[in-house]
Amino acid sequence: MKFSAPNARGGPPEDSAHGALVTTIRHDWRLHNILVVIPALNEADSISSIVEEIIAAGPYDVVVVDDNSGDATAVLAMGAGAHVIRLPHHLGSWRATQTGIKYAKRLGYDVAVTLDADGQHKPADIVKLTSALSTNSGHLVIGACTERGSAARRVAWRMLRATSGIHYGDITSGFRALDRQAISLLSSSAAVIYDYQDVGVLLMCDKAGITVTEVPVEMLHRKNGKSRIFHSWPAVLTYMLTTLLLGVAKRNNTRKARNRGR
Amino acid sequence: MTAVITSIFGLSLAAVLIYLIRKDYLYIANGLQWLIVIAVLCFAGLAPLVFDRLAATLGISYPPILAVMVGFGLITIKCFMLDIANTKLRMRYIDLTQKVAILEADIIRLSAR
Repeated sequence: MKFSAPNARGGPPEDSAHGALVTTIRHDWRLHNILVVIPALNEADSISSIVEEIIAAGPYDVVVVDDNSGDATAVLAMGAGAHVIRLPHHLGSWRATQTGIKYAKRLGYDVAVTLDADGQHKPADIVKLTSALSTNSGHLVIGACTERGSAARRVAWRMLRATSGIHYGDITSGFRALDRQAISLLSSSAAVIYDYQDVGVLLMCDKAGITVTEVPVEMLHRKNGKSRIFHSWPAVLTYMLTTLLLGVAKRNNTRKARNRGR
Repeated sequence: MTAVITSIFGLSLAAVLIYLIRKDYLYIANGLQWLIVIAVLCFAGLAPLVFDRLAATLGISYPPILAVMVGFGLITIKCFMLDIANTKLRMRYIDLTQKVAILEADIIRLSAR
């Protein structure tokens, strides 16, 4: 039996037909070097305008990852000019985002920008994040707005920082820019285990030596709906308990990683 | 009497285990783990004197509780193993779901060319 050689990443073998398919898709779809990833769940009211604003602010390619919405989010996003990936099951905000990051890696984008579909993030600020990416590889930039949110949210942030040992200001912001190395890390199967994009993902970046920096941005009120994570008090409690536990469990790994880097 | 009841309980569990493996409801490696749990539970019931002596050595004043603790400990370990296996499967399922979604998007775009 003849086996094809493993690919450069050490992953499973890819046959020539698969390679040709990816090349064709790259040629057809990748028009620019920056891919904007928008995870969306039932965002029919806002998705069209957000995609149009991003395209106008470009040059960016846009992919909307529809987290199995029950409304017309996917159709509207496509109509507005985005490419759409429809998840066959609801996977949650981080895993929808990660699907878009995997897509960015697959098509060889230099930069991926993640942005919420609820209109909180201003497309005009994308350039602030991408221009803050350093020329050194291994960089993630967070669009931070620590002024937003209630006193309770700030207390929660403080608790999460204290338990996990991470020192970033806005750890829950979904507005981020990733370079190739960060794309490669966060599209790996190891990042699938996290439910949220904050503490676990940032600790993973720290451990892998990815530099995380913050750029202040303005954030707007949501155009529609509630937060996908903080939609009810039980959800907030679950989020806090699981994230605090994750921070405590992973904290030492980060220290070791930092010590190794010294 | 305790030994008889424990024997019946253990043999019943063993019979259920064999049935589940026979009908392909239970993977053979998991069946082996459960067989170890059942064997230890049966031993605890059938050989109480061993636990009496061991409890005396360890300074436990109520020897039957040692057998209960051993059985409970084994079942707890088994539950941890189940959750570890469940986590692995969940990660693989999510990874595959993401890949299927990306490939489906590719197919839609290619068919529209």
